[in-house]
Amino acid sequence: MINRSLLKQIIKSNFKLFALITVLMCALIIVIMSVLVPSTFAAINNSSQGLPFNPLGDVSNLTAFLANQYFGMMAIIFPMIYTLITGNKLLASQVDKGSMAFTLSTPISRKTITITSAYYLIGSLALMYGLIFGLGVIVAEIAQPGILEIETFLQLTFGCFLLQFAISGITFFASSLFNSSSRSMALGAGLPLFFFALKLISGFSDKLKFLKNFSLNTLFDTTVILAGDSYTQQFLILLGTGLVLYIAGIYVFDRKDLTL
Amino acid sequence: MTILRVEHLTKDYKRGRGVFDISFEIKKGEVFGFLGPNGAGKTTTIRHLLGFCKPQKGTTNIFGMDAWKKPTMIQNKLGYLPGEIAFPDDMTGIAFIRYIAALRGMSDFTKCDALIKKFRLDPSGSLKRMSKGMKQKTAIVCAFMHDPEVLILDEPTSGLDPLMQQIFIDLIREEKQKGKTILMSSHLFDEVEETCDRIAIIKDGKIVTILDPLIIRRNENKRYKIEFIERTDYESFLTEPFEILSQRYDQKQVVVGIQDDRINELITSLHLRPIKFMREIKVSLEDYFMHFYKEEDTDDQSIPA
Repeated sequence: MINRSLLKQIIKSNFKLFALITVLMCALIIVIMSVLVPSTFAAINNSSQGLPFNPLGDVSNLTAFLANQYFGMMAIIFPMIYTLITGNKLLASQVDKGSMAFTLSTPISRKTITITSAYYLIGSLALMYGLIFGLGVIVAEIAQPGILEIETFLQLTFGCFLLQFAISGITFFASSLFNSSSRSMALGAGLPLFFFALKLISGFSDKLKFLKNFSLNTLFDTTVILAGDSYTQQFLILLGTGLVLYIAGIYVFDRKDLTL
Repeated sequence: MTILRVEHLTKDYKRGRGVFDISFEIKKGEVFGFLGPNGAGKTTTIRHLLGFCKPQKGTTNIFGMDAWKKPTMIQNKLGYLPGEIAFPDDMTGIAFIRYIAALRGMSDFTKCDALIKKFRLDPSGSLKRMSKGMKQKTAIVCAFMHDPEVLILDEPTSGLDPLMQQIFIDLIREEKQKGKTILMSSHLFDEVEETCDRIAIIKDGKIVTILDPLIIRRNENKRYKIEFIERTDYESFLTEPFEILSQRYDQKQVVVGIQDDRINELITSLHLRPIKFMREIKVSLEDYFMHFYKEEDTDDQSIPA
């Protein structure tokens, strides 16, 4: 099902972007965990008092800042760039360019290609969020012991990973479905960006709030996690969406005509 | 023993493109040429043989296995050279060759090394920066290195210089000697004529004819271009009982069509008329197309006269 040589090659050819985004995400979490100590938040809270509306959302303490800033924006958009580009590159772009012809003329089956690719994409995202979590906890415990709510941080990281998993499902499915890179990108990158924009716009005013009901991103709601409310159902939907899309992608790629 | 069989293969891409009811078979040890202009359906047929496309009608079999249903079984013993070569752009030639070898589970690099030497390929450079010829050579190495029993080669010599084309033709002959079965597409007549046992001519998605290249080589209808020194000789020659296919008054040139058994009449006639030169115009692929169309497709309106 998974071919080691193929996986090795996939890792190699996607390493640069993966490393870039992962280093960026890790650098950000290191800065947040080490710089944003309680006294900093006290200063922020003082200066923003009296403002009718805080554009940053609730940033009164470290965990709230993580939820609203890091996981509300950065940890979604940057890994998403990696997901969208890599997802397209794994299948559609290779079919479009024609380089897939070499791989497929060896005794490697289409299923082995798709399953190995899916394994890589999911695995690399898991590794990315795993590193964020691990580094975050270590740095926080060194810089400001006992301040970080580790369990909430874990829930946030895991939820964000699940959202990214569902997004990567969309990209992977589009990449499997289309023989042309541009079409794959239109669906596989267009839809996740549309969801992201919708969620963003819905926060602008109460009149636009209803828009969030049409966005996948709403299922990863950091305020719910922060408030300690139940999020199991949303997480299960994200997991299910991703799984269905990955399986559907593997299925269609196995049966379609390839223009190689 | 039939190794490769295509039966009633049909794939309609609409607007006249695709392949329609194509059937042929290739026996063990045979080199089969697939000849036709661009867009005739050569690559479409090959795509089906590799299992990249599902036939709308008909079947494609190699080693008795269905190419759509069991591509991986077949590809253990198959070498493929794509018509349009695209490599991953972030690898060196040798890294790519090793990668394909690894996917094949190949451990013996004797043949690979011999091929690299034979084609004077330097695979150490980046694939992105390679010339078209170098890329083609790299792809040839990948197709032949695991010593497959069947080779499917889509326009294999494109991008190769004449010297390398000759080395390639020698390679095909060696493989044939070893009993390998080869399907090779081309739009170049010389290339297939020199190597193939049988040639299928394909146009507009249909096989027009399958012929033996020896028949073409033994063709007794020749054409000669002759240029006279004196205008008077040129003019008087036109009155001789030869078939004049074309004439150029200013250059004092004629093209004569003649059967081999009448060649001496022509020589005799030229004996008294000093000429500047005389050369045979080889029958081109295009002529053959036209020849077969006239015979078999006279009522097809779409073919230019």
